[in-house]
Order: sequence, then C-alpha cells, then structure tokens
Amino acid sequence: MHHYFIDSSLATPRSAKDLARIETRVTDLGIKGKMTRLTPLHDVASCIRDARMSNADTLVVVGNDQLLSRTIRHLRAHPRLTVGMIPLGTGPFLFARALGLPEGLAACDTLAARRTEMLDVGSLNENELFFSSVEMAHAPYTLECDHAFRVQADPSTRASVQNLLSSLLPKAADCPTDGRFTVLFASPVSSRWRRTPRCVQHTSFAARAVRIVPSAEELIVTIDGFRRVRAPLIIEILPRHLAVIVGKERTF
Amino acid sequence: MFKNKDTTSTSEETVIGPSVTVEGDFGGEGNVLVEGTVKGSIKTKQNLRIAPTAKIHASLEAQSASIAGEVRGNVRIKDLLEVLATAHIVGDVEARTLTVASGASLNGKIIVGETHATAPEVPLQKQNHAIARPSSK
Repeated sequence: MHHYFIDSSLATPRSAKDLARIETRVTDLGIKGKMTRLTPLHDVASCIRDARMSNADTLVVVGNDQLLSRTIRHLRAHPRLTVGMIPLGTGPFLFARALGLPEGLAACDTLAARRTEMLDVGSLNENELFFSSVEMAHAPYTLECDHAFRVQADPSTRASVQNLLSSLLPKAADCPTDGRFTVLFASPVSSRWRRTPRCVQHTSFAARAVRIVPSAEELIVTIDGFRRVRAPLIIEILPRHLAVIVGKERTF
Repeated sequence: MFKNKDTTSTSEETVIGPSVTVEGDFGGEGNVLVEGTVKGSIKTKQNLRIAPTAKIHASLEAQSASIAGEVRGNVRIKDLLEVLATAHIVGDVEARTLTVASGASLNGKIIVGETHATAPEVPLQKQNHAIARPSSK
C-alpha cells in the first residue's frame, strides 16, 4: 500500500492541477494510496508514524529533494519501508535525476514499474539518516576516518562526505551501492592570469565511518545541501539499508 | 568509485592532494596518488604513486610503486618499484624489480628480487619428514 506525502509548497493553483493529474494517473496505474499534505503542524515524522499505523509499505514523496531528504532522515527505525518520489514543484531535483526519476506526471509510470534498489544511507550520531552528503567549509577541522587515520586540511578547503551527490563535484554522482562514502576535499588555487578560471585541487578517498571534529571554532556542517547542524558529528555508512524506487536513467 | 568522471579527476581512485595532511594507517584498495603529507603508513593492493610535492613519513606497502617525492620510512613493494630522479628515500627498500633514475637519493638497505616474504613456504612438518626418511632406512 502506498502513502503519498505532498510538500507544503505545492499549494498554488498550478500545483493543484498537477496534483489532480497525478492522483488520476496513480489511480489508473493501480498504485493509489492515502495522500497527506504536509503542514507545520503535520510534519514528516508524524506522517511516517501514521503511514506505519496504516500498514503502508511504500512512502512516495511528492515534492523536491529537500522533502526526500527530510523523509529519509526519519527512516532509521523503519528499514522495511520503500521510498519513491514524484518530483514536482520548484526544485532542486538533483537527487531525483541521479535516481533516474523524471519530473511530474511521468514519474508515476516509473513508480508503477517499481524497479527497487537497496541503497546505502549515512547515519548521523547513530540517530538520524542522511541520503546524499555532509559538507563543511571555512573552519579548521579534523576528519577521523575508519578509526584508523586522521585528515587535516587548510581552512580554505571545502570538504564533503558523499554518498550520492555533493556540490564539490556536482556532475559526478557517487555510487550509493558500494558500501562506502567518498570523502572529497577541494581547495582553490589562485591563478596568475585573471581570465584563467581558478583551478581546484582535489583529494578523494573512500571511508566507511568519519568523525568530524572541529579544531577550535564552531563548525556548522550542511546535511544533504539543506539542513545545518553543529559538529562534532559521527557519520557511518549503513550499507544497502534503504529500498528506493529508481528509474532506468539512474546514474549508478 | 565514480561512474561519471569529472575532468579534474585522475585515473587514481584515491588522491591525497597537496593541501591535505594524513596521520595514521591509511589503506586503499585501488590506485593511490599522494601529493600531500602522510605520517604513519600507507598500504594498497594496487599501484602507489608518490608525486614530487609529497612528503611521506610513513612505511609504504603496495603492489607496484613510483616514487618522485620525499619518503622517510620502509618501502615494501611486491612487484615493480620505480624511483624517479626527484625522489629522496631514507629507509629500507624491498621490491622484486627496482629501477632508479639518475639523481635519485636512496639511503637504506635494499633488497631486490625474490624475497622470503614472496617465496613459497614449506610447512615445518613436511621438512622434518624429508629429513627423517633417510635415517630410518
């Protein structure tokens, strides 16, 4: 049984038309389910609880990447739920593209095909989940990786612990089925020539567990490109933890 | 690791750039390129490349390696070790095949060829049997 979460931003008349078309299409395809519109008083966590109470086995996010990230955040205690997405409204839809999900009505057909992949997700402080990346910038910090080695970088260096996508290498989607994170560092190198674009020197390696330790000042890290939390943080990979409906055009 | 390679990435799966310092036991399964500073140890099952900008205070273990930077520590390579002209190695070197370019600096014990670690070991009990047979006749 499917349970649809509709983003609170989809309250415009144009979105209402799109939602009506989607509702008709999922009914035609035989994947109809309860539709819940998210509100500040009816948040994602309470909706997931309601979905579990009503024996839903598939959660479908109708909205953008941010709503997908907010939903996956609360799924540590519900590993048997399958997650799907209908990208609709204002973006970004980078996660959806990496998963091979087309925008709007066409995503209903992908959902009905139900091509499911077990994907890795990251755990934050053994509490919440994240789907794509943890990024940090412009503060001194140390990364302790796999309980074996520590990595320090210049404060100007931006770093990312990536499971699927990160803003450091937006064109390169990591494989979320390999059971490990890719840790990326990117430091800008100044050029003597004004017209020459600034080069970027990269560092990349794989790790399964990363502890982010701020060196002196407060360090704010960005989770999945949206949510900001304060370090220190312990990040661990949960291999093949989450079942996600993907499309043919996925990048991994 | 990545399916769609960006233009900035190289053929190495693991890259330690010049702005990064690594301390501890660094292990990799694929090719490793080191351009920064490493203290501790580096192990990989494939090729290891030490760039001229690298400063390594660590023991190295790899299938094959090419060293162009500064290494202070023991180097143990199962196959081919290339020491380039800009290399400066202080430590014992063990490899099956070794090439050293003119201008390179090597200070330490060097073992080249089949080593005890790579030669097939005969179990101790079989050795005793082989010795005991002639005396029984």
